Amino acid sequence: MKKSDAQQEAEKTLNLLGSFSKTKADPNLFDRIQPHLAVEIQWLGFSSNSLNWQVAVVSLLLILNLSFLGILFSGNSQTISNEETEWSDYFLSYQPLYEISE
Amino acid sequence: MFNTDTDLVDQLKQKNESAFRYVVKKYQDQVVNTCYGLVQNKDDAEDLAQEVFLEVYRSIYSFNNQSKLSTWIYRISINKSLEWVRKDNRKKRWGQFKNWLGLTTEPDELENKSTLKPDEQLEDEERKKILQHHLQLLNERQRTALVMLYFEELTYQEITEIMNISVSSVESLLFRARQNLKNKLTTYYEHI
Repeated sequence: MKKSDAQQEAEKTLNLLGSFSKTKADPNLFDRIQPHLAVEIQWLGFSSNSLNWQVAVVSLLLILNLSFLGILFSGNSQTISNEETEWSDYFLSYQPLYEISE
Repeated sequence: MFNTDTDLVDQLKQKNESAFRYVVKKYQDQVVNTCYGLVQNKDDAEDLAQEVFLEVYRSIYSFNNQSKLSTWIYRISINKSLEWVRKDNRKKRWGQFKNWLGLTTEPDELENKSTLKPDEQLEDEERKKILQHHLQLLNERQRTALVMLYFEELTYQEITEIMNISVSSVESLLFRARQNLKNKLTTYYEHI
């Protein structure tokens, strides 16, 4: 198409900018939102209530503390020992199966 | 039911469900129409409207009555829609890349559009489709300003408040947007 014709077509199309009819929402939009809202209410209820947060933090600390105490008093030092200690322990306790005679 | 925006916002902050229902009913057409103007798809606009209202519900604590509630909801609608458009563009680019690699044979959207034959009898509906497609090619600010003016029929003053720019900036933004759109349409018609 020639440039002048293309410009005319473009102008005609551009003039339709104001002729779009408004898009209406689904009248049941709120019903579609409501299930999500229930989840939000639960979450927001929890997050907005500082007492719940305090309970959660204290519980977490308690669990971590108990885990640490469990490790400390379990008697299994290998769990928290580093690799070097494990290897040195291994070599110190090593008993050869056969004596190598000279 | 709620005399002022302030009353309504207070109730929303207390998570009053009937206040939220009222907000959805009052602003749902505004939100869907704005989202539709920016994403050009009714189903996506409906889905986005849900996200917008959930964001309103979540973020109402941050609303401090410095602007009108409708202005704030417009901003959320625009942000959510533009976010969606960016994601969609990334998906399209990935699709084009896969086409290029020969992994898929998804038809190019522009190819579909070019089957339309513009002549004197070209229907308005076809022109509107072409117009909507080219609207998507504008940058985000220009597209937003045009949607606010032509889809939502807002005044320059209202657009100023929503976009947080001066009236003269809105005027020049709209002028450039129209000019840009006209150039893109001219190029389109020249090549078919």
